[in-house]
Amino acid sequence: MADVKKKMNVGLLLSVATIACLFLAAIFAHWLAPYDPNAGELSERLLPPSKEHWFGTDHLGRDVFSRILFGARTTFLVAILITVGCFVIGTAAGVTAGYFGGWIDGMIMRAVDLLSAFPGRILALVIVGIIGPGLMNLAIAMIFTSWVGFARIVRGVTLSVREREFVLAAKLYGLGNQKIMYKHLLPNVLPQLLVVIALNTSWYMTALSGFSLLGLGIEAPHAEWGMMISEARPYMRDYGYLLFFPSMAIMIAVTAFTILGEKLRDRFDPNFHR
Amino acid sequence: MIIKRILILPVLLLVISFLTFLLTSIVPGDIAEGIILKQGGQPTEETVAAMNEQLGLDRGLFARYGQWLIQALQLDLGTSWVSGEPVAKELAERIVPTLWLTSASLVISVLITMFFGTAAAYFRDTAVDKAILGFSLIMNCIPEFLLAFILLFFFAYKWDIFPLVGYGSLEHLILPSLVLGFGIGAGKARLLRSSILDAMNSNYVAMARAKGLTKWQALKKHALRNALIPIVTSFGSTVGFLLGGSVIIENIFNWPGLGRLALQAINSRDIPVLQGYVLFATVFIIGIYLIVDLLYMLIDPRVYAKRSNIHG
Repeated sequence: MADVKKKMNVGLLLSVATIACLFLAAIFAHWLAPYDPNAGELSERLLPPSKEHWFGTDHLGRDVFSRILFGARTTFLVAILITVGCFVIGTAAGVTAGYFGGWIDGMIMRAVDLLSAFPGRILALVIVGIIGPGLMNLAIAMIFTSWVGFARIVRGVTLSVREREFVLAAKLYGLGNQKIMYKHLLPNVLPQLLVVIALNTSWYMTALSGFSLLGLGIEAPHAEWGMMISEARPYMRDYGYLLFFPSMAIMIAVTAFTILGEKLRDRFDPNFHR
Repeated sequence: MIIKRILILPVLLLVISFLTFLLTSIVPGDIAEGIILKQGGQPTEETVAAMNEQLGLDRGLFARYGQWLIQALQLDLGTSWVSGEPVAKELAERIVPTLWLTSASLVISVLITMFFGTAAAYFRDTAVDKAILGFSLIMNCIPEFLLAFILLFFFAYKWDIFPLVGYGSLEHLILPSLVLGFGIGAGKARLLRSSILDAMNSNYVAMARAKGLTKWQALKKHALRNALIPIVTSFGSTVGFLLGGSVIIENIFNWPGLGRLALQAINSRDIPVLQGYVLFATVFIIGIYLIVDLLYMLIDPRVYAKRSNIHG
């Protein structure tokens, strides 16, 4: 048993450390990047990795390492945007549904059922297709399709906590509904939400890269991992490193968030056995 | 639960198609302008007004929606704003390639799920189990486009075993369906493994082992059948997604399926095609949920028994 616990911590630690590194790289991209990510020197195009350009240069002579750092910034920005949006909408809907019950609960949960019956990827694609491409629109489409997961969990926890002593005590004490929700329900919901946030973040990152690959994400000069891969495609036969580095960046980020989510689930969800 | 889901889907269909109308009605000028520009004309006030009239955008939202709904019920989905072809015909042409890709990836993913899932569960906590878990975690985390590029890099560029991209022969089908099949199968194999392990801990498996069945017999005859129930459910939504056309894979491999049509419609703001696509995907998904419901009865007779108890 002790051995299992030790192993769990290693995975958790590694994934947290990786995410922290990526996050710091994203925040300090301005200082860390040796070159301007969008300024290319055509005389230095398609250079292999070297001392000057750690990850080489792309077809426009831009430094791949710098672009990957700034790509991390894009990825985290979008992931945070979507997470915050889902958190606000999902928590508000879930707490309201679970706390008040009755027809309010019925209406909110019907909307949740409706949205989760349809494959999220198709729905997100169609929404982006209608409101147009771009980072902000992509975030809106993703929030629209993934707040339901948050709402479901928050509602479930709210239902189970609603009748517990400390909530009843708060009610007797005369605390308003809103105060009770935020002071007493939210702390109970957070651990489970962390699991969803971590697992969802890996899907936001994949989706962002996928949409950029299709030309529906970020606009051209800005750096984004998925778009770097798509730009590298015509050169992949002879310049494999152009494909390799952004691919590794995506892989590492997605894997770190997936492992983090699964380790947290092992820890917080007593019903889930591996 | 399943009945509720099936009943809810037509409502979803209405909501989504209405939402499509609502959103497109916010920017009708842009759409007309965009189409005129694409056709090489000058967007003046008159040409934009004429284009709006031609597209029917000058009428009220509810009038347009009502008409679209009535026509859609008669299988008339309007005409494409870009090609001028009937939307129903464009969609029909794209189904066959998507069906090919869907069935091939489904076969591969089911094989991977069954093989890896049962092997990992049977050899629990051994090197085999750990290797499978590690492999499927990586497969689960690789975005599908990345796997596509990696396979293309080696099998098409370096070793020249399979054709690069395109449609038309069995060789063209192999790489895209491998990408989709592995990506889907890896995640479900992990699910099946934990599902089997849960079942192996149950009393009926202990009973079967006590009767003298070997571990393999107990797993195959008793645990697997119960363990498959959640897997079948999760395959339902996967097939729904595949039938909608895996947009990214279809575009990387130049596969002329529904997903590619959807992207083309998005890029040219061809709203009737997009609406037709949503309708189509939803109808497909309803069909899949029905099939999953039938499969349930096959795997788990309790579902049927429970339901007939409730209803009398």
